[in-house]
Amino acid sequence: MILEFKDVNYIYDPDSTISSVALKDINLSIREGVFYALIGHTGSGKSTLIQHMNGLIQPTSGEVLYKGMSLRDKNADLKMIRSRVGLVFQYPEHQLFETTVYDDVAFGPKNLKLPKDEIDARVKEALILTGVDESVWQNSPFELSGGQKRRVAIAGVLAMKPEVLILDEPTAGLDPGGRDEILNVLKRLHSEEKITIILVSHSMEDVAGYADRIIVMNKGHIEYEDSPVQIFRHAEELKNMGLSVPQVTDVLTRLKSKGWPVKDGIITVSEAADEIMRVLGKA
Amino acid sequence: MTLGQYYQTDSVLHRMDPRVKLTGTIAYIAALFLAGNVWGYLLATIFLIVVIALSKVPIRFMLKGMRSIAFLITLTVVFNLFMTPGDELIAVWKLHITREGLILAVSMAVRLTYLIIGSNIMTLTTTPNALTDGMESLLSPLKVLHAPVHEVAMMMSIALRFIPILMEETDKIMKAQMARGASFDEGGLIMRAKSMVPLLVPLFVSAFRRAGDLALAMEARGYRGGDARTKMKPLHYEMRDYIGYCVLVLLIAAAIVLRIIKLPF
Repeated sequence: MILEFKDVNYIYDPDSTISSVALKDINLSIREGVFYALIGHTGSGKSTLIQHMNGLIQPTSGEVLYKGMSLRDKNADLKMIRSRVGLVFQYPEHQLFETTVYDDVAFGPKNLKLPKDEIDARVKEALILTGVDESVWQNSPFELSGGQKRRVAIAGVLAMKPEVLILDEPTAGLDPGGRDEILNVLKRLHSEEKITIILVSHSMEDVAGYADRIIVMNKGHIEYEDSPVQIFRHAEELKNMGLSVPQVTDVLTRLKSKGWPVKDGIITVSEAADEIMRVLGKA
Repeated sequence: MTLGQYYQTDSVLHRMDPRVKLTGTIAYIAALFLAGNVWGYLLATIFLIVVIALSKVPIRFMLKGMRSIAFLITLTVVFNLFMTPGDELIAVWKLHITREGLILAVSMAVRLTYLIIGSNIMTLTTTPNALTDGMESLLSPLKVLHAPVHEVAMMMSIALRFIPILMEETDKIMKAQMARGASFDEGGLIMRAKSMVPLLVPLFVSAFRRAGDLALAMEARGYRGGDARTKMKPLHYEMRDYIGYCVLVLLIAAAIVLRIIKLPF
């Protein structure tokens, strides 16, 4: 258990007349080495939830624990925790500021006051992991393409060597090619570097093939926390929350209701293709 | 004057044309500085009380800006109190308080306080957009001199529109850099100034990006500057606005009369 939420509530501007409840009664355990997807409609509290995970926001009531230590604790070293729980915001390329790609990625490790050769090793490793070509390392980050900028920004967080990497809509505004590149980087980080990933998205389509567990948020509380196959059984309820199941899952459910003997729990296009071929071959 | 502190409610003053309110503020300030005796200040006080009552805005909002200029008022009072030559009232060591100094100090304090409350009433009862519209309309005679009146008014409304967006952006970038181990409240002055770089560079980049996007979006919708541009909500005077102007003329006239004629005190 690397992160734990215990009865967390969060209210925006509690003293003013415009106060609004952003999170209510959140109980959640994040286990090491698991690839999570956090799904919810706009305004469901996803971004507020993840900002609790590294202490950028403190809960109005309840507790967030990192390895059993409360983030509210006076002895909690938030700087250390923020390096262990890496948070990549939406459009992270907007936070780039240094004169070179290399220096920008080095910002995090420098803040951790690491020795110079350690910083150098981490920067190089992070840039290679995110697939940023060595030829642009000394270029200005502002000259890069949108997809490249975003990978540099993700490398900036990775260089702190987090155990958990949280990404808020990392594929927003990218073309399909850029989207797949980012998602494949995440998959590699998860399988090879054993990093726990929490991927925030509003699109089931994006995360279905990658996530081990899906957390569904609706109106500030957690509706479901389960494996993708189990989650997609709730197609009706998800639709009511403004979410959808992947298109292939929808297609196969309809085929089944028309009397085709297809299996349940299919979530990717290639699985669906195989299953339809199998059924057709039999028929 | 704090722009953008509009207080939402419905009153005669809220419905009044922004041009009347702008002219009114200037006229009120003129009346304040015309006041040379107790009667002049009494006139200004009565006018202020009536306007506050008409505005339906709670008093505490009027007094909002007062704390920030409290220092200025104190300074003015102290200087006027001790530096004005005249009939000595009290003398302590080398400091002399004169009758003239006392009168001057009190009247300056009253003027400054009324001035702040008066301009607060205008910004509390007028939306920033209405205010820039009013300024544009009032300054339009300057177009004859080729002054870019419309452009300046447009820049003002855009600047006001972008304040909340940039505030939100600042908060977001600060959090993003904190997630990378940055801290904005550590170390000495130089350290702190240095720690602003990771905040200010992205903020400027994003402000320029937004400005470029906005310019493009405006041009794409045919914006060509002020010439022959019509308004969706053109300003036009109602009965209450003419009454407003009449009251302002009376105010100024009364202020002048009270200054000239000899009255007791």
